[in-house]
Amino acid sequence: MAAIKGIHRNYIILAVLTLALLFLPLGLNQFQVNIAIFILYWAYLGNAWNIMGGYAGQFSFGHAAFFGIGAYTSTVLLVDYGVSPWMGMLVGAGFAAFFGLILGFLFFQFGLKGHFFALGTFAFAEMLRLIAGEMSILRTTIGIQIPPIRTDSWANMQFGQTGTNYYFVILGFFVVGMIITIALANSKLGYYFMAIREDEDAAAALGVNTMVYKIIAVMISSALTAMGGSFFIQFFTFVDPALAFGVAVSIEILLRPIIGGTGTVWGPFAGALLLTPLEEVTRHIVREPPPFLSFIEGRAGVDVMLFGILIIIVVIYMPDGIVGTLIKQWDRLRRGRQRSRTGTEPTIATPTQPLTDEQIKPTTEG
Amino acid sequence: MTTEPMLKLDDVTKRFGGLVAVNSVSFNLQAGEVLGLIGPNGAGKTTLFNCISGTFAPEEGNITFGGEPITGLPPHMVCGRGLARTFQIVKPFVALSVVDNVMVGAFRNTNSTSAARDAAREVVEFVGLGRFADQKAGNLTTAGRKRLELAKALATNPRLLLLDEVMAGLTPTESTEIVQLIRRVSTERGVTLLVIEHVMKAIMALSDRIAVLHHGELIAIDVPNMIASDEKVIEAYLGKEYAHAHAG
Repeated sequence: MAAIKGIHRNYIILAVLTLALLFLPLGLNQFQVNIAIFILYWAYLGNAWNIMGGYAGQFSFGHAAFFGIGAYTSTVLLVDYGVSPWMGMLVGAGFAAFFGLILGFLFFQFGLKGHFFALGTFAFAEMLRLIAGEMSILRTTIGIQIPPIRTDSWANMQFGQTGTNYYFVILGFFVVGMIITIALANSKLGYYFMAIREDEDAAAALGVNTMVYKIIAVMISSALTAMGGSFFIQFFTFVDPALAFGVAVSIEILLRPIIGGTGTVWGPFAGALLLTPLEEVTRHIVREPPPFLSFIEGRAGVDVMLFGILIIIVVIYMPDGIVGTLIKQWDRLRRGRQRSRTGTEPTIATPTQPLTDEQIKPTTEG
Repeated sequence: MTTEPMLKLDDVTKRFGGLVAVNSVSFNLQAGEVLGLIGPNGAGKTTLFNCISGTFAPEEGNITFGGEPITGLPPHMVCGRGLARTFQIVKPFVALSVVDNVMVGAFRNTNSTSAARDAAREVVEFVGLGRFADQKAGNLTTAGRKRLELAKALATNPRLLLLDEVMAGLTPTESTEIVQLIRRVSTERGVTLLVIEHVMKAIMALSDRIAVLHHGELIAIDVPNMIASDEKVIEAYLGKEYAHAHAG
């Protein structure tokens, strides 16, 4: 019963949050709206990563691969063929899922796990970055600029004057991503993902086709990530190989869910809520540092250093991430209360007639 | 005696390099039967389990389950046919609650989360873990983990269950309870059982027949009383002391 209440609780939290977020831009200036856009954007991408890296336990260090496939697909379709990005992002999602299928099949067929799987995904993204730099249809390393249009267009997902519309688009993405995550966490698919993460052999022994379910996790995650890539390029209006397939993208995508708590419904959002404003603040400090920090003025990398420190703190003090740690603390609190109510730690069943020593002694070793 | 056996092994052989871990083992297991599998450490008991459940494909021989060949099928497909197993070294999904652990097994028979949850709760109650249903599996004691291992396998609703040393590492009290529980799995749930166990008293009391493996070979298969007085078995495994104690 507790778990059923759990899923309803998550949907209720999401509904309330969505309602609040719908009215949020009313109280914000353009700069703050942009921060809000980035929070939702990173939360959405973190969610996508979390399905594969968190729930199914297949740690991807190369999500830029799928991000870039989405980014380029919708951009090329729009610029060269006049296809609406709304259509383009679905095509991109299909492409990314297909690439995910191939990647998953190859990696899992050859038994890549843990660190090696992570390195494999990283290599895959780097490979795509180099290939994109050579492809003339993708304008090689020059990149593609989305031509600006004079009026806001929902069909082209382009809003020059009112960035607030981007906010509503990404809010929609975020909410859909959250619904998928919540539904997944409470479905057969989600349970199989988690079983695979915890112990593949045990999952297989319970009838889980681990190969197939791992590939499904990769495909869902890559399709959603690709759509995030399409959105970003519509917002940023420019794409090149480094922006689409660069290492920085892979790292930024996995940072929020890890800080927030992998394999939890709200972890990626919590991570994005914390890291994104922090990123903005550090950028601001670098631009206009206070007098005692004047030596860092204009220098790049301060935000990265800060992230590094934050990760070290989280790894040491909250290895389960923010949300993961909160859940654990809550669990401990509840068990503590249960213990004080019953007076003792509950034990397994009641003792009955024990076997004698002679009966229990194994006759040989063992 | 013309009924089709539930499990049929014909000359099953498994080698690791030059080592013959299981050597041409053949036996039948009838529906409803409890067959004990004993033998010294390294006799090939767990390897034989792994061959049956699909972890290893045997080099030679055939394994038939419910009249259909399952030789070389991967574990998830063997489980899909209704043949479940537990692991000697328990494999709980530590980050999940006890019920969620068991639900993974229950999902073999349903796509509905609430149906899987109901089925899992029933099994969790059955194995006596009801009070721990919503706790993380990682918080369970050894005895609790053994019961959870059994519950996960039972939730797949198997016709045949392979139990690999569920009593190892338990106190006498805990062992007694597990014996009673295993007996109920057979009688109340009608599950056919193949049981590896080192605790002689328990396996003697539980089994309809006992098979003895030694150096990968099946050296005897018979009712417990005959096994206890079998010269070869006494020589290889039970030891003279046990034979005397049993006779006396």
